[in-house]
Amino acid sequence: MAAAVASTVAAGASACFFSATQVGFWQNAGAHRFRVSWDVSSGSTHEGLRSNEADRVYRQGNNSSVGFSPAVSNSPRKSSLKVSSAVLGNGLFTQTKPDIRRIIPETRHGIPVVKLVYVVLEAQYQASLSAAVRSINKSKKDVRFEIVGYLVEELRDTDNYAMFCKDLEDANIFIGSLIFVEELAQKVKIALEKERDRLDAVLVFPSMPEVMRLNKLGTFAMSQLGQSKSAIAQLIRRKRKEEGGRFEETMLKLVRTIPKVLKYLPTDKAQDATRFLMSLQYWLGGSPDNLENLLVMISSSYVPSLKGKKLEFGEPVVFLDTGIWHPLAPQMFDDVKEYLNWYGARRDANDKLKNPNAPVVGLILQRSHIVTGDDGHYVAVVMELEARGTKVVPIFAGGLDFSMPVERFLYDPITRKPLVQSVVSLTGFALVGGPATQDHPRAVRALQKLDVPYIVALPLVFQTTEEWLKSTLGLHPIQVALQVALPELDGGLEPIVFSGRDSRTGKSHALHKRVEQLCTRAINWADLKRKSKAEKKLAVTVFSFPPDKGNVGTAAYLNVFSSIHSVLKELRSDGYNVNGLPENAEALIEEIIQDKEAKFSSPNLNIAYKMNVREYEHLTSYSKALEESWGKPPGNLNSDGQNLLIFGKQYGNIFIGVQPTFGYEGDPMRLLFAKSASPHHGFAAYYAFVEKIFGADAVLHFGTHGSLEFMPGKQVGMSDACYPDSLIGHIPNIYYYAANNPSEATIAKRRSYANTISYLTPPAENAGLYKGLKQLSELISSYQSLKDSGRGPQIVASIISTARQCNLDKDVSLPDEGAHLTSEERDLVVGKIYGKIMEIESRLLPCGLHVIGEPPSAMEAVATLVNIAALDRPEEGIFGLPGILAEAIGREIEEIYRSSDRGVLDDVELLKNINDTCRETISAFVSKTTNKKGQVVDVIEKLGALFMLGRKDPWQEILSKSKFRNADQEKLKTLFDFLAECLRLIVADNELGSLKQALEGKYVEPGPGGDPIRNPKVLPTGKNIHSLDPQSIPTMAALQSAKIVVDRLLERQKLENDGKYPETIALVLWGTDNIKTYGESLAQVLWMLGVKPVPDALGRVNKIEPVPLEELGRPRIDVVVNCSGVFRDLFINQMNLLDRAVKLVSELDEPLELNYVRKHAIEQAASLNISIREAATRIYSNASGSYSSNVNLAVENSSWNDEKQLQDMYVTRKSFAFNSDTPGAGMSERRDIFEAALATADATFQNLDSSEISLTDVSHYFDSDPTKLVENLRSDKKKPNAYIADTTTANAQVRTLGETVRLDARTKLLNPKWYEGMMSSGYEGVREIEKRLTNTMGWSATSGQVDNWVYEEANSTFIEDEAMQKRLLETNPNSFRKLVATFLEANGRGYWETSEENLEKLRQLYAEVEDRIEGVDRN
Amino acid sequence: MAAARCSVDAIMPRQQMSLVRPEQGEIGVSSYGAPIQQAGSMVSLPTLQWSARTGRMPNAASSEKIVIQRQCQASAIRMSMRAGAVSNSVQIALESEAGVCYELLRDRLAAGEWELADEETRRLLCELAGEGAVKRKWVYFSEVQFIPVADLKTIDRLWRAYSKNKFGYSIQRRIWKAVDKSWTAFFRKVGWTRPLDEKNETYRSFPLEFMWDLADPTPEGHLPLTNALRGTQLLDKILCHPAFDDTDGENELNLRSTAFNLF
Repeated sequence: MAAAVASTVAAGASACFFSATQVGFWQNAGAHRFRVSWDVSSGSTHEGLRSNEADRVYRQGNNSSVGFSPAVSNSPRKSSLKVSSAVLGNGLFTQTKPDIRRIIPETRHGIPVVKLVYVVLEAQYQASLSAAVRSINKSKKDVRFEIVGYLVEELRDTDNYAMFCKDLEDANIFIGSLIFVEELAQKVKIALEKERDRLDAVLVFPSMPEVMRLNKLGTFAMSQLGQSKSAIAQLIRRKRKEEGGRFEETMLKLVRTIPKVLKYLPTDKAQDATRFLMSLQYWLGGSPDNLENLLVMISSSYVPSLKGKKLEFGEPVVFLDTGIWHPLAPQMFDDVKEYLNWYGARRDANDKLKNPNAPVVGLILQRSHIVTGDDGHYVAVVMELEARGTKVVPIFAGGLDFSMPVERFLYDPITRKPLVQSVVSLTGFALVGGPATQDHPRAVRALQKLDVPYIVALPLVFQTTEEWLKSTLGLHPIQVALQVALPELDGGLEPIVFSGRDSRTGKSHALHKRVEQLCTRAINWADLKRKSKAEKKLAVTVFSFPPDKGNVGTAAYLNVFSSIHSVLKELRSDGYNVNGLPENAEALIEEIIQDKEAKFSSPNLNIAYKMNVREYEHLTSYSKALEESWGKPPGNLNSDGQNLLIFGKQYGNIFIGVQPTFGYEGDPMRLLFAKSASPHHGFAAYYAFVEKIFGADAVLHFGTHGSLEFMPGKQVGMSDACYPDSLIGHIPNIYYYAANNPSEATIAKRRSYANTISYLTPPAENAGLYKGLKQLSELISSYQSLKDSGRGPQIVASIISTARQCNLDKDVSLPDEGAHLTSEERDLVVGKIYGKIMEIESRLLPCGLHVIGEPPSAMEAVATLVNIAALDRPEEGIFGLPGILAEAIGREIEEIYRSSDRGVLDDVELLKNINDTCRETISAFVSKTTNKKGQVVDVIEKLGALFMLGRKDPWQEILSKSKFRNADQEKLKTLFDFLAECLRLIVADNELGSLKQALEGKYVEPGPGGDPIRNPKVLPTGKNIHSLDPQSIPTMAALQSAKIVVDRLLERQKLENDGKYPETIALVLWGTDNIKTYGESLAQVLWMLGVKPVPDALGRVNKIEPVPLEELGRPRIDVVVNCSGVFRDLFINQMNLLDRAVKLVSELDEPLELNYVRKHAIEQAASLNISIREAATRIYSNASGSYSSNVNLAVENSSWNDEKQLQDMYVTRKSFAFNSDTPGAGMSERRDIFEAALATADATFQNLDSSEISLTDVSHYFDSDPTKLVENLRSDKKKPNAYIADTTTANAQVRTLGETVRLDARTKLLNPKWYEGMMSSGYEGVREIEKRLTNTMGWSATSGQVDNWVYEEANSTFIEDEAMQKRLLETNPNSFRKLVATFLEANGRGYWETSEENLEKLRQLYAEVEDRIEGVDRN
Repeated sequence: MAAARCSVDAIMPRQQMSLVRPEQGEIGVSSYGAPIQQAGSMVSLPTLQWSARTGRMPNAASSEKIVIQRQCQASAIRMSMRAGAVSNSVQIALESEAGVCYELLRDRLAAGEWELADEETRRLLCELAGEGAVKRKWVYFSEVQFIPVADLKTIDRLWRAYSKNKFGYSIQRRIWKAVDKSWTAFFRKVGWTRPLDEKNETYRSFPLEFMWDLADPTPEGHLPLTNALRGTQLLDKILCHPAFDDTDGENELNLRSTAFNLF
C-alpha cells in the first residue's frame, strides 16, 4: 500500500495565534493517516513582560523593538536611554535577532544546566518560554536552564543560521513548532540531523514531515508511532471511524482528554509516547505554567545529569475549546443566551450600546491569543466597536473549523435568525481549515446561511510592525498566500492589517488607525443591512480612461451607461430613491457628459459639486502629502482654479460620478517616467465628496477598471500612508468586474477593499468571413468540387490572386502568378489558404458590449458552448466533441489538427466538417431550449423533459445524417449533460441580484474568475471574484501544456533562425493568464531554463530541480522575464521560485553552449564586474506599488516624441528585479543587468490567455512588448523574432506577432460583424473601434509588426465610407476625433504610407470635428 | 462616598520645603518650558509660574537659547522641579471622592521619579475604575465613566503642578483638540511615536524609548502614558472625561491667573 502523506498543513501558520493548526500528523510507511488538531497557546498572563536579559541586549542597541505598552513595571528606570533602532539591511523579511531570546543562568557549582534551543513560527511563545525558564531558574533548586530561541524566518540569515547550528552543538533539548516553510524546514532538518543522536530530547510539534520525523523521546520516534499497533493509534483509528468527517474535531477532543486516555494505556510500553502526547498538551496549553511543567517533565526524564533527582511538575492545564469571550466578562461563555444576558446587564454600557437596534458585529478570534493573554489587539477592536455604539459577539475556537462557532454563537437562540449584521475574522485564516487543508465549500455554506458581509482582517505575523511599515511589499508574501489569498476563496473581504508585532516580546499590539479603519468599515457594512432601501445612498462611479471625454464610462466589454440605467431602474423598482432618472441611457449620458442644449459645444462634464480649498483640506487629512507631486490645491486637474470640481449628477439618493483620471494628462511625461506618483487633489476631492459630503453608504465602481486600486502604496496589507486605503476611506466598496479578469479584480479586492461582482463578457461569436475573405471561401469550395474537372488551375489562379488582394501573402507563401503548379501543389496552396480562412472564420470574438442584467440570447450562447465542447476535460471524464467525432470515423483529432495546420487539403476540409457538425449539433441542442423571444429558458426542465420522453436527443438527428453517426453515445451523453449545465449557468444571470444582495449587506457568493470556456465554474456571473491559491501553481497539467508550447516555440524559432536555438527569450508573465491556466506561462519559463517544479510534501510548489541536459535534449535557454505589476502582486512567491531557478541554472557546471544562462551570466559578470549569481538576475517587474510601463498611456495620449522615449520609459519602469537572496527587499532597480540581458534576446514572447482578449483589445500587450527595444540594445541591431502563443482553442498555436496582429485586424477592426456589433452599442462602441486602432498603432511603435494594409483598410472602412464616417461622428464625436487623429499620427510617425488624398481628407475631417466639439461656427 | 483629604504639608519632606527657588538667571525658560516649535502648531504655550515673576511670558518665537551642559541642565531641572512643587504645594488638595490616596503619586512626582509616577498613575486609574480593572491590570474604556471627577482632577493637578504644566491629561487633551482629535498627530506631538522613514511613524517601545524626564527634548504632554497597545479608546474616554470639561481654554486662563496670582 502506498504511503499516505498525511500532512496537510500549509505554509507557515502564524506567529501570534496558532491555535489549532490542523496537521496531518505523523506519517509512516503504512497507510495510517493521522490528523491531530493543535491548539497552541502561549503566553504570559500579564502584559508588558520584561526580562533583564532582554533589556540587556536591548540596551546594547542590537534590536529594533516596536510597540508601546506601558505596564506595571518592577524596577524604576531613572535614565532615559536613547536607543537607535538599527535595522540590519540583510534584505530578508525580518531583521530580528535571536539573541534577544537568550537567557543564560547564573551557574552555581553542582547544579546542572540544561540547554534548550527552540525554533518556532509563533513569536508569542517567546514570552511564555522565557517566563517559564526564569521561573524554573528562580524556584528549582536542582536545575538551571539556558535557553535560546529562533523564529523560523530568522534562519534565512546566514549568520543566524550559523549561530543556530553552534547552539545545537551543546544543547540538551530541542523544541520545534510549525516549521512549514520548505526552504527553512530543510535548514532545520540538516542542522538537527547532525545533533539528533547526541541530544537528550527532540520535540517537534506540527511541522513539515521531514522535521517531524526527527522527534526523539527515549525510545519514541515518529517513525514508530503510526505504524505500531499501539493503543493510541488503535484508539485514534477507531475514533476516526466513528466520527467520520469530523475527525479533526475528534482529534482535538482527544488531545484534550489525553490524561484520561492515558490511564488505559500500558504505561511501561508506551511511556515515551505518553510523554510525547503530554508534551503536546502542555505545548498547546502554552501558558508559562504549562511550559514550565513541560520543561521539567522532559528534562527530568531524559537529561542524564538530572537522573534520580525528583523534580516536581504539574498536570497540563486545559482550556475551554470554543465559546464567546469578552474582555470585560468574568468568564468565557459556552452559550449565546448566557452571553447576551451578561451583555444586557453590563453596568458600563451606555444607552447607545443598550439600544436594541444597535448594530451587532460578530468577531472571530483565535483561542490561543485569549488564553495566553496576548489579546491587546483583540481588546482594541472590541473597544473600538463598542465605543462606536456597536455590540459585539466575539467568538473563538481552538480548532480549525470556525464555521462551528459561527453556527453555534452567531444566531439568536430563540428566533434562530442571525444575530449579527457583519462578521470580522481577526484570525486571518480561512474559515474552515485555518492554515491547513481548507474546506471552502463548507465555509461558503456557513457564510451563505449567515448572509452578512464577511471581513477577514490581518494581524502581522512574520514581520515586526516596523518591518511591515518599511516594506514596500507590505505584508510578507507567505502571509499573503495563506491569509489573504485563501480567505478570499471563502468570500472574505478587506484584508486590513489591524495589529502589529513587537519585536522584543513577540506580542501583538493594535495599530490605532488601522483598527479604526477596520471597525468603521465593519460597522458601515453592517449598516447596509440595517438601513432601509429608501434612505440608502449609493455613489455609482464611472471611469474615464484614458483621460478623454469620449472615454467617460469606460469599462471592458461593458455598455456602461445602458448598464447603469438598467441597474438604477431595477433599484428604483426595489425601493431605492432614484428620483429624476432619465428615461433612457442616452439621456443619462447627455446629462452627465454633456450639456443638454449643445451637444458639441460643452467642454465640461456636469459639475455636481464645487469644493473650495479650505473645505478640501479639512476633509482630506492627507492632502499635504499630495503637494509633493501636484503642488498646492486646487491645481489644474478637476479644478476651476478656485475650487475642486466633482463631476457627475445626483438622482435622488444615487450619485453618478466620474472618477478623476490618474492625472497623466496634467504632466504626462514627468509622471509616466515616475516610479510612482500620488493621486492628484481632484482625485482625493472626489472620494472626500463621496464619503463626507454626499454621505454614501456604499460606492459602486462600475466596470473593469478604474485607477483607485492602482494608486501608490504597499502591494498588500496597506498602512495609513497608502493612497488606495486613504481614498476609499470608510465607504463599503462594490465593484462590477469582468469575470475574465480575476487578477486585476484581486488587486481591486485587496487594495480598494472591493466586493467584486463579476459580469459576463459579451457572448462570443465566430468572426465569420466578409468581402474578399468570403469570396475566397467560395472559390475554395468550388475548387473542391471542380478540381478534377480541368478547371482546377484556373480556379487556383483566382484563389491566389484573391488571396493576394486580401493580403494573405504574408501568412501563406503564395506562388508567383502564372507559375505552373502540379495538382499536389495546387492542393497544398489551397489547403493552406483554406486553413487560414478557417482560422479567421472560427476565431471567437465578443460581439458588442455587455449590459448588466441582460442574459445572452440562445444563438449568442452557441459559439461559447461550441468552444466549451471542444476541450477535453479528462479530470471530469468529459471528452471534447471534435475528438468524439474524429473517433467516430477512426481518426484522432490531434492528428487532424496537425495535418490541417500543415495545409493537407483533405484534412483541412475534414476539420471544417467536424467544426461545422459541432456547431450544428450544438445549435440544435440550444434551439430546443429557446423561448419565443430567442432567449434561453428553463434548460434543465426542458431537457429533462426531452430525455424522459425518450425522444431522440436533439443532437442525434444531426449526427445520424452525417458521417459521424457512429459517435460514442456514452461520451456524447456525458458531454451534453455537461453542456446543458453550462448553458444553464451562462444564462443564469445574477449580476443585478448580487448587487442588490451586497447593497442590502448580504453575503455575495464567491467564485473563481477566469475564462468561462476553460472554466465554466466562472458561471453564472454575479459572484464575488477571487483568484486561486498562489502556492498551488504551476500544476503538473500546466507543466505538460507548457512543454508543448515551449517546444513549438523553439521549433518555430529554429525554422526562422537557421536552425539555431534562441539563446535568450524575453517574455512576459501576466497575472490573469497564470490564474486561468494554473501557471502555464510560469511553467514555460521553467521549461525554457530546463528546470522542473517539485511539489513539497504538502503539495505546494516551492522547490525546483534541474532537468538533466540528456533528458532536456537541448541547451538551457536564457530568459528575461517581465512580470506585470499584477503578477508581482499576486505571485511574489513564484517570482522567488523563478529567480531561484535562474540562479540555480547559472551555477550548474555545464558546457556554456548547452547552458545559455550560465554563458550570459559569466559574460555579464565580467563586464559589469559583479558575481555570476548577481548577474543571473532575470526576473523583473515594476517598482513595488507601480504598474505597467506606461508606454500604453503615452501612446493613448499621443504624448511621446519618438520610439526611443517609449523604450526609455519601458526600461525605467520595468527594470526592477526580484532577488531571492534578499526577498524582503522587494523590487530593486537593476537596469544594468536588465539591459545586458535583453541585449542577448533572439526572440520575444507573450501568451494570449483567453479568446475574448486579443492583442489589440487591450493596451497592455503592447505596453509590455520589448521587441524594438531589444533590437536597439543588441550589438548587431538585429530585430528579434516576436511570438505569441495562443492556447485559447483546443489546437494550441504559436504564431509570430505579425501573424497575430493580422489575424486580430481581420477578425476585429476590419470585420463588419465586429464593428457593426460595436456600433450597436452606440457611444461606447465608437470608442471601442478607436481603441483598436490606437492599440494597433501601439504595436507599430513597440514592435513594428503592423502591415501598411491594416491602416489602409481601416481608413477605407471608417473614413472613406461616408455613411460610416458620419455615424461615428454623430455617435461619439470625441472618440471619432481621436480616431482621425490616430490615423494622422500613424502616418506622421511613419507607420502608414498612404495617398495625399487620404491624408488631406483626414486633416479636413479633423478640423471639422474639432470645430464642432469646440463649438466654433465656421460660417 | 468617603472623601479623603491628605494634607500636603504633613507629608512633604521638610528639606524640600526649604529648597531655594532657583534664580531667574540660573535656568532659562526655554530649557523646559519651551513649546513644541512646529510651524502652524496650534498648541498653546505652557507657562512657568516663576516666569511671571519678572513679568516675562515664554514665547515660542523668541525663546532664549541657553547652552548648558546636559549634566548641569539635568540637575538644574531637578532643582527647579522641586521648587515648582513647593510653590504649588499649598494649592494641591489630594481630593478623592473614591477614597483613594494620592500621596504616593505626589511623592513620586515631587521626587522627579517620572517613570514610577507614571506607573502609579496607571495603577490608580485601575483602582478608580473598579475591581475588574484592578484584577485585569488595565482599564476598559467604558469604566472611565466610573472615575469621579474629583479624583481625575487631582491626578491631573498633581501632574501639572510638578511638571510645570508640561504633563497631565488636561495638557494632553488640549494638544489632542488642537490637532483636531487626530490620534496620529497627537502621538507625534507628545512623542509617543517616532519617525521611521519619510512616510511612517512607529510607536515608541516601552519603557526604554520613552522620556522619563521633564527636560527637553521631552515633548509637552509626553506623560502620563496611556496604553496604545489596545487602541485609543481608553485615552479618548479619559480626555473626554467631565473632569476636563472646564479645561478648554482654561489652561491659558488658568496659567495666566496662576502666574499672576503668585505675585
